[in-house]
Amino acid sequence: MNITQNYDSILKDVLSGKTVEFNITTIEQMNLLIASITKQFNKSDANSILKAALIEFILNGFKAELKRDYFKKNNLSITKDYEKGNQNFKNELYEGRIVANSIKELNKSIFLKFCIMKEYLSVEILNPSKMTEQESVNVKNLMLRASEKGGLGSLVDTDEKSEGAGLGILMIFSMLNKLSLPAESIGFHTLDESTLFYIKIPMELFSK
Amino acid sequence: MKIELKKNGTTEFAFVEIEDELNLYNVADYRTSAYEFLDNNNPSTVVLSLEKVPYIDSSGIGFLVQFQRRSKKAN
Repeated sequence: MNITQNYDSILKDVLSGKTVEFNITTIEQMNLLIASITKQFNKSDANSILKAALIEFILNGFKAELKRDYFKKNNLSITKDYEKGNQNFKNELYEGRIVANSIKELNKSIFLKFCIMKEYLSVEILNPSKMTEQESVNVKNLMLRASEKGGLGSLVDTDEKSEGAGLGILMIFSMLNKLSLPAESIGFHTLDESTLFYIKIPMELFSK
Repeated sequence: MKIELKKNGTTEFAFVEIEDELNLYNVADYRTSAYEFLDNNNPSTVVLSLEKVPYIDSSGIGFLVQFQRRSKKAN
């Protein structure tokens, strides 16, 4: 599908049992998708978590691609110079000098797949870059801690985490907890040349 | 974002009201305004109203955590 795709019809196709796959490259496309989801599921318990997961995972994908471009432009190695380069990148993002609103100019896109599997809505979000070992360890540790301690609450009073350090994942875990959904409802796989995040939401929550 | 000093009896406090989404794309602006106000006024109490905020993403939550820490440091 192309940039002018109709997200309302995508959702209708998904709800009728089809598997739908498409790409997102800009914040405008993401906002159109979110608006369609909100229109379709506005009053359901599942709307907030689906919306939050899509925003966090898509923007994480944008940031991951822009980070790699930043390393490349600054002659830094994503593995050897990771800590220094990542901190510099985060500072640029923090100060607003890098704006994560598009990866179109990098010729990259985030791939999304929606389908209904048994009684769940399954959403997969594929970033076109493989996580580094350090990024993978960071995300695994975050997910482990979040699933053990219930998301954001355990971190708010510590000095440990701040903006851009996995808060999105913790936020989603908090929402899963609130809806009594298991931690396994979200996860990720590191593939050969990409990273796949997924979320599974019971269909019954879309009618509550 | 509206930010002003108010009084409750003899107690002065900073009242911060955000009326838009709090997200990756506007936290840098909110941060600049909020920190400048804290640095200039050094309030002993900060009241934050999020009643009119329709959505907060993880960057927004990060800003709130940092703002809380910064407010504590200001005292």
